Amino acid sequence: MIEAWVSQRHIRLFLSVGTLLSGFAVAMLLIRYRDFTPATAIFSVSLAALVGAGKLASP
Amino acid sequence: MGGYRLKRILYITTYIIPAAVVWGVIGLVFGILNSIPLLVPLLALVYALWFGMAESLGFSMFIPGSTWQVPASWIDGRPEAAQTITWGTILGPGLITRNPYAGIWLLPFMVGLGRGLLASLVVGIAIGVAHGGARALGVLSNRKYMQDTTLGHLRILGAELRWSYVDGIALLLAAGALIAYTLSLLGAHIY
Repeated sequence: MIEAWVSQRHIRLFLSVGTLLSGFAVAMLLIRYRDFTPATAIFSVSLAALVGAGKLASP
Repeated sequence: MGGYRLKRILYITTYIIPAAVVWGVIGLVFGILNSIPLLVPLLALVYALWFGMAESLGFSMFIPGSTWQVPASWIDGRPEAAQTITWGTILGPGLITRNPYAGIWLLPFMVGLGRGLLASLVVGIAIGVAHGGARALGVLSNRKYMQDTTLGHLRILGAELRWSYVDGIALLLAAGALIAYTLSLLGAHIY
């Protein structure tokens, strides 16, 4: 049910723009009050795991 | 049971070690590139925004990368250990075989954002461990589905579409963060 809802184009666009703005806001807060670099490292490692686990097609 | 567990650990290790080495080197290279002001963040921003929009909105788009696949002659008739080492060395780093997710090519740029060469090296190795480990676990958990070709391929196709959307969302999150970071490097007072 969630999948059908998310697959609607206007919902997708809304979520995409919302995610972009969220990334901007979180980074802005990190740069202002904390350290941005460790957050990029944590994000990169998580993205690597996501991409690695998602490659299911072979062997 | 103990032997099976050891075999699984060795299997995962053959993916992790080559991946850690390759991504460690990438970390060093992009760490050096980061000494050029704004280059790495700007390239990362353009890439993440472009492919993030494409994947999250479901546009079919050419994902950069290789279409090369491991030749059957490298696998067929070889001992199981040699096959595992071949798969692990090639698939663990995730760079030379087909990759359906654009997120993989954002990672070198993200590694370059580290503060100094040592940080880039450490993050590079961590990325290699994460990618290689997750890749090996994905292969192991999907083996049973691969045996049933029709059901297996349908399942994989559906999973790839969902995964592609999640990858696009992750890229857009990164793009938003990189906009803020690039503006801060330019000295813009956005807060």
